[in-house]
Amino acid sequence: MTRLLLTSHKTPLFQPFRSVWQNKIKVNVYPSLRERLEELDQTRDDPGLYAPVNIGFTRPKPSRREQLHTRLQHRKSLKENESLQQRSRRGDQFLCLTLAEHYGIFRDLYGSAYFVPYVALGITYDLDDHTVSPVHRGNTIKPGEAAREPSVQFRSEPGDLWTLILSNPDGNLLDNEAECLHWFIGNIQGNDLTSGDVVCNYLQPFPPRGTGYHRLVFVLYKQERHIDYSRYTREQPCVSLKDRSFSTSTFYREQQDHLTPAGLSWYQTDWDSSLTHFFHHTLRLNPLEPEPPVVPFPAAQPIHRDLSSWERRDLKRQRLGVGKY
Amino acid sequence: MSIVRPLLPVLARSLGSCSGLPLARNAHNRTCDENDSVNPNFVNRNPRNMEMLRLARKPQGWHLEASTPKYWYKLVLEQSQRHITGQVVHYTGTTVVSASTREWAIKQQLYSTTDVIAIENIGRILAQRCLESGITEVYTDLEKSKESSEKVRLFLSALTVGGICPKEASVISERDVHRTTWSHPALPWHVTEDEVLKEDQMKNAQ
Repeated sequence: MTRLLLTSHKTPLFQPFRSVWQNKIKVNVYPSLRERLEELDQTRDDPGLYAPVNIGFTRPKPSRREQLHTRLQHRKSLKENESLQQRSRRGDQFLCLTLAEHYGIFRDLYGSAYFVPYVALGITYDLDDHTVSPVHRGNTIKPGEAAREPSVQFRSEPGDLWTLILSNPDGNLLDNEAECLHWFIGNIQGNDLTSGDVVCNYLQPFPPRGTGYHRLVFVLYKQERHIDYSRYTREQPCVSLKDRSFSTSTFYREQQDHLTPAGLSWYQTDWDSSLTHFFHHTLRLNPLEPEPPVVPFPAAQPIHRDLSSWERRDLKRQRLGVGKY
Repeated sequence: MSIVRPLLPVLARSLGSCSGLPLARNAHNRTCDENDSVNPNFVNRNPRNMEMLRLARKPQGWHLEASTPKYWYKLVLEQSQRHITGQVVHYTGTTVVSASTREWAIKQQLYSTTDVIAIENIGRILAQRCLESGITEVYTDLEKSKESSEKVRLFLSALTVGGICPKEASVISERDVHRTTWSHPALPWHVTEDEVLKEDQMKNAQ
């Protein structure tokens, strides 16, 4: 697990070189790029404090020798058969881990912690009877497609308890360091979502126009026992941005004795024309005037040729802002 | 982390305005509700946002080098004596998506891990994994070996059929933004996906 680089948000004062006294002579030391990048790394002074912590499950490793032996037998039989089978649908947990780091999921949700998602989450947004939009590891889904609750499937024992949280680390319009909570269901029995307590009802993603692509992250936690989520429960339906402000790291610190993250899935959204109606009617934001069109060089706009010469001269002067003389 | 300019046209007009006074430039002159006050400096922390908006710079390399590949994601194909590996590598060096005949899940279904069937399947699997991971365009320098090698040709065609474009979009430069004469809006944030889909539908209907 490569250490997540914690860079400071403020750019430090740039010093091209340091001066060092060597044998009574002042010598300039020019640090290399690698050394400069290391200086920016906040975790260098106390690596023990910032060391990434695995908060997920660990699985006992099977004996590699036995595994190789059985696999070799299988391959030998395959060589004799010369037949091709259907492609298997086993999920790859470690592919997910590299991608989660690439998308900064763990950094923005937990900080220094990470987990290996051993439970495969099968989340799909049903558009109509024939089409679904699946959620994998960062694919793009428009907000119009994600208007309703998705169907969530995962393998579970009937007696297990789970918590599912959907949050947007880029979508909190009030606080840059917190997330926006879109869905929170606790105490799910087995894999039946209807049996869980809805702590926060589902709200579709709403990335404002111009802000680019937001990540929406599904995290599935395994519970040790029944948890009382009444202090997190928001009154439903919740459309207040302030109430939906959520911090996964704070929440996890409070509940870490009873919860362990087990499943991870995320997608990206950006603005859609259906969001205008959503902002005005669901979130009750005041509608704004339409933007005036931006003209890059107003003085260079064409002048109508039917204008007389003095009218044209006056118009040019007006545009350039020429003074009295 | 991309620090996007403050949301001036969309939301900054309603900044800190929840003092009870109606906004002067409001279209409907409604009193502001609690959702109207937003942070004037919004930061989108998604590290892939700038690349997806085509605003992130691609590494330029050194300008005296013969050729400097400029890319965000690069396609790498490794054909060893016993295995075939396809990888999509980010310019920072991270291997983001990979598919290899070394994986048991793939190996157990192949008769040979080095023939054309294997490489085609690796292409299909890599394409599927890339789409699931939000990567749709990659830079590749395999085009020149397409004519000479059947395997490379099959690999690239499997990727293209799978939905990955072998050519990355160019970075939007300031020159493109400040054009004096625009015949039609060309920048991604001016052209919405709905309009493009409608145009495509009309073209298909004709």
